[in-house]
Amino acid sequence: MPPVIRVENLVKEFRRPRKQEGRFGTVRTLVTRQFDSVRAVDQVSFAIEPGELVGYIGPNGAGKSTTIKMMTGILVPTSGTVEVGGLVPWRERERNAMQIGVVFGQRSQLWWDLPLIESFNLIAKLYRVPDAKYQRNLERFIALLDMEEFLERPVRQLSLGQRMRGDLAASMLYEPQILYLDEPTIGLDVVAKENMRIFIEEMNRDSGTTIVLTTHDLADVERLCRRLILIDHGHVLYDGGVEQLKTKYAPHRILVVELEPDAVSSGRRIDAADVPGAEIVEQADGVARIQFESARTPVQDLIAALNARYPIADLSIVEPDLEGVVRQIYDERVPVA
Amino acid sequence: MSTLRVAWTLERAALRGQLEYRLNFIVSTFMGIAYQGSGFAFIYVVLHSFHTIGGWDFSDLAFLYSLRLLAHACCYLPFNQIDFLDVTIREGKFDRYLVRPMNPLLQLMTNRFQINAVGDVLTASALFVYAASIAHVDFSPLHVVYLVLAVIGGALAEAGFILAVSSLAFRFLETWAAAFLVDNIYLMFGSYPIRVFGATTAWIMTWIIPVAFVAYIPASVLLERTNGLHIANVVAYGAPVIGLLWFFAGYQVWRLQVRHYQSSGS
Amino acid sequence: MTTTLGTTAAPTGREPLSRSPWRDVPAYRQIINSRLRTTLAYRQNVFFLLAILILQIFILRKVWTALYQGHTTVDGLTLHALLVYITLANLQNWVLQDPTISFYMYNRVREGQVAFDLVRPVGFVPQMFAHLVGSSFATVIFGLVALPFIFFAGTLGAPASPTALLLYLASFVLGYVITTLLTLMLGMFAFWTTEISGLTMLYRLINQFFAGALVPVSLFPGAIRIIADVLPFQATTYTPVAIYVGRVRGADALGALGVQAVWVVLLIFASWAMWRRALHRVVVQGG
Repeated sequence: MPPVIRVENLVKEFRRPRKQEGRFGTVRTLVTRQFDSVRAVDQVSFAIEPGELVGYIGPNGAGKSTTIKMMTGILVPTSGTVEVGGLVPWRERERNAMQIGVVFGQRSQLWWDLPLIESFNLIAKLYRVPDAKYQRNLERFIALLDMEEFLERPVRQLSLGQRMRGDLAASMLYEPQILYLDEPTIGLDVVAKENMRIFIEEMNRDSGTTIVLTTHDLADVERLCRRLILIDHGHVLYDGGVEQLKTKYAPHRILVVELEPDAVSSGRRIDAADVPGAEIVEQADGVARIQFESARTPVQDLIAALNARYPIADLSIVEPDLEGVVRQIYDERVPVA
Repeated sequence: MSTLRVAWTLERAALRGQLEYRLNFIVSTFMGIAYQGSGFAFIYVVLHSFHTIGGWDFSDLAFLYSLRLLAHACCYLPFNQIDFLDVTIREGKFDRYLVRPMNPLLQLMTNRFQINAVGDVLTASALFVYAASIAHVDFSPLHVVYLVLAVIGGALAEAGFILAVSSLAFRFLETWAAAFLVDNIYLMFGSYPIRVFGATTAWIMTWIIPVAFVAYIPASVLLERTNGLHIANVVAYGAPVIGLLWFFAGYQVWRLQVRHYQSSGS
Repeated sequence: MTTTLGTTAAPTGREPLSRSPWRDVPAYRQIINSRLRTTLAYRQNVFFLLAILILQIFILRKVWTALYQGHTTVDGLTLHALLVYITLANLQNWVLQDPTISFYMYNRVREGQVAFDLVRPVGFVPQMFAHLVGSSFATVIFGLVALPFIFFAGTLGAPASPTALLLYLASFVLGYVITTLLTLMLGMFAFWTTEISGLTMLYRLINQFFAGALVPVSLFPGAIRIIADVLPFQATTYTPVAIYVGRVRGADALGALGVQAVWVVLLIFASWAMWRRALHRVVVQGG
């Protein structure tokens, strides 16, 4: 099956007139026409299969939004190809629009002064959704997102969480093949975030909607995505599974060992020689953090060795978190093989 | 076609949204009346002492002025949001237009309903009825048809140019001043017999910025003053068509510029 | 357009009750400076407004020339004198105006910062005055830059006589004071309504017409002339410029100056009364 989204050697360059400083700056700017050229997206390539839920992440200014905007047809690429559902988005905007849903976390698509339900009606009309289908989807989403109580309220009176739910529902009313979510959980409280994630998951699982998720909240990614594309300075740094990323880039886990209080008071410390194949990263007040590589050193051997020699009060294993991994990658800015 | 039906639905929605702001409507209406009346006051006052401007007497000028107002109001009613393109872009709303299955220009136009635009049309119509009653115009069926077409054509001539100018917003950020300037040019130059400004200016106001096609040329035709015109008679009769061409050209420029859209924000 | 200016100078006196306005001169200087800088920063806007001014002068010149076809003198003015009048009147009218002040006041009120302004040691009204002066300085600078274009678009000419020039200068100062008071009062409307931009536009239109920038007031027919005589706008532009071109001279000129002085006094009272009502409203509303 051909990929539903195909991006090849995509480049976007922005040319901004360089503002002249000093006297008569304005006039000089108009006359001399010097430009600063910025490559927001530099040779980005990837393909997304139908039904995937992909996380697309990167620091601010990395080129995420620019890529998404080219995929949705908002921006015209400087060079390279982008094909979505067999169409070139910027060339056939209106046709492309029918097959995609877009949620911008910070800007609502709903009509500000009208009741929420009217926004839904307008969207149904705009996307020419047959009445039966519209009613069915509407009922489903009202139930799923618990919107009954504020359906009649003007959008400007809704809380952020309510408005986001409305935006999400609006984007799916016409059952698009592909859904782009740009920071959908931003500013939401913990409960709202979870509900949003459940909805997204359900859309992907039950309706088979291909979803591209852009977010700064890596908990979203860990929860929802199996695949992750990491971009920085316009380049793709990583494109692959979330788990693989963690294993490959942060193959270490940490074993936290807490010694019995008696041993602590008598000044007992864990000796590095007793934990071959592992490294004691930190040890203080009877708590030791021991770093090891799961692949090379099976954790049960380590625990057994420690248990034999030391009075252990408590043990826990700390998994590498995605955020730490990603932060490391940003810091080093080296493409991960 | 269904696009227009959807556009109409959006427009009605925008109207519903605006009815909240009633006080704004009242003030805007008075503003509109004052604005439209002020140019008229000038003509009235000067012609009290002098009797003609470039050979045009009070009834001629009143006819010209009210025809311009009418054409402008007919342009303003559908196209008043065009001037706000730069604001729409800055607020990030335009991105949304590009992602919906409908012409972004239509979406921009139906984004907000400007209630005072209706007031402007009513005021302009009233003024025109008065001016027509005192004008030396023969309202034969042929002339009436020409008049209607000329108003539409004039509105399109203005709209087309404004479309082209405001599409600069796709490339540059602050364009309200340019749009404001163009609005003022149409307002100031369009109210007088363009001939008065000299050959060069008259040419510019005809072929570079189509101010003359909004009212002066059609008025000249209807007042049977085509001998004083700086263009061929045949072109004058075809003014509505030229207006349509201007609109078409302006729209093409707009469409081309959308490609250079840079969007805003992260 | 909203601008956020730096704070005024640190409190000078410890007794805010009886203060001489002269103490606050450093504060005023700072306000004027920041106004200048702000206007320079927004110079793009100023250039466009200038362009409109220049076009208007051009149009008026052409229209008036066409009007004068077949006449040499109308109402005691030759075409040349009238064109000088029109050019100078428009230039002066433009220099005296600054719509941004009203917006500034409006925004301060709306955002509630006016509460700070009222509490600051430098009085609110003198502050606004300083803003207007600073704005005028900036406008004059831009006006000087535009002078060559105005020379091309309109007609500049010498005053009718040395006396005329002197009387003009005196009249100009009075006209400036009147305009400032009117602008202040316009800005005070911000305490009562949100529709400040509509009001400002309306004010500009009415002002422009009745100040005689389009047609000398002496040419106003019947009822319109009466209305114009009752309004203060005539005293801001028509009076000084008419003196300059010699349309009004000698005893008439002194009389006109007298009328201006009367307006100044009237407007001081009116704006003081309005200010009291505005304060009252702020206190009652809680700011």
